[in-house]
Amino acid sequence: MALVRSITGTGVLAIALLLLVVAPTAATAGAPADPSALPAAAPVIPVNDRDDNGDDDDDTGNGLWDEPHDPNHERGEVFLELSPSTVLAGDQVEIRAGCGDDRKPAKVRSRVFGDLDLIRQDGTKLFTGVATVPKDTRPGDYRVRLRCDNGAGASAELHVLAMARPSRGPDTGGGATAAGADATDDRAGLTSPPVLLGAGLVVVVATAFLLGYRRRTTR
Amino acid sequence: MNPRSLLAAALVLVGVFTVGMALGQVTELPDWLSRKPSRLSDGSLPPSRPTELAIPSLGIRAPIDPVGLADTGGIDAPPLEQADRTGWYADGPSPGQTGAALIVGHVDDRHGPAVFYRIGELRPGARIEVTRKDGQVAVFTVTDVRTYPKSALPPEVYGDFRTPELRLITCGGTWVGGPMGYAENVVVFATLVNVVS
Repeated sequence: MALVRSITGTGVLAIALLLLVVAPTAATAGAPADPSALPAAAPVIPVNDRDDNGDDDDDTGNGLWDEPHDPNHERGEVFLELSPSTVLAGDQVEIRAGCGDDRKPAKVRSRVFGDLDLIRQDGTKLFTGVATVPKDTRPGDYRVRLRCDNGAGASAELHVLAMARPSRGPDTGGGATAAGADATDDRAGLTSPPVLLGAGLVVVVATAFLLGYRRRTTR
Repeated sequence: MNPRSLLAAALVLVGVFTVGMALGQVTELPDWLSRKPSRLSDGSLPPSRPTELAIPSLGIRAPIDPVGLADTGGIDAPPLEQADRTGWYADGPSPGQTGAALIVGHVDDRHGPAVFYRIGELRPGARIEVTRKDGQVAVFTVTDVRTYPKSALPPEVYGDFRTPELRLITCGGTWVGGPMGYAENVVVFATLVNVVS
């Protein structure tokens, strides 16, 4: 019996030590390995550098929405852009695309609006189109794929929302400061993190104690 | 109980906690896995639930909970007992997506000032930071602060989908009591200026 107990004791120890060693590595392994190890998720769209880069043509004050100096289509890239990339069901999406040097008709396809022929802007390599997201489209993320005549392609994600416009403003007050009274704030509730943490620890210790107690009495 | 099994039990507990922490990290993995380019081609961000709101100039730092619509037809707010938290209208855009992300918070509770007590003091140019579950921080700058009757919020509060915007909404005006509380809403208008990863 003593032997058995000693073996199980050692086993538990080993498992515990194993958990200690394995768990943190599992936790940290995901993080740093990730950006390099995983291929970037699908959209082939180039991420334009449109942030604060000191553009002179900045009319919004933040440089986010300027026309880029070197649009993708002028560089002859294969790309697909949706504007806006988030829409309400029922709204329209502008599509801009490039097929490199291919000037033959291009198409986009998506589960939201089916197939759509894009129109090439005269004298450029830029294709454009406008798609309407049907009103009954379920909210979610939908992939839109560009198919160039030469077989090249790109894709982008369209985010569809089905958002009910609130009919009135939210009710966001309890009235304590309504009369300008400077009431004291006594919001230290039972659910504040320190209280929860304390309670959790008490439960753990109590459980450990009870388990130990029971084992002693049944011995 | 002999010392060894006591030690073992303690170690198991520690191990379980560590595993819990590990799992806590691992549940972030779907976000890591689906990590998208940080900016979409229109300068906006893909959807991701906001988790924390910070307004440095007012010293505000508050957790964000997803909320829906209340029976009144207005956006639901966190319960009055949690007036230090804010609510994000989860049917609408995420902060950083194109469209107006809507975050509501109480101006006070039954005892004193609450999380959005001072947002009416914000002036154009003030900075608002929203941390998202994907780890990106959408940085907005205030463009306007206005007060409207609750029954007459104009369409621009809910915005359009041309650019990523943010609205902070709380109560103001006269206290009328009952379920309505205050008669008016204070709305802070802000626009996305930067994204910090």
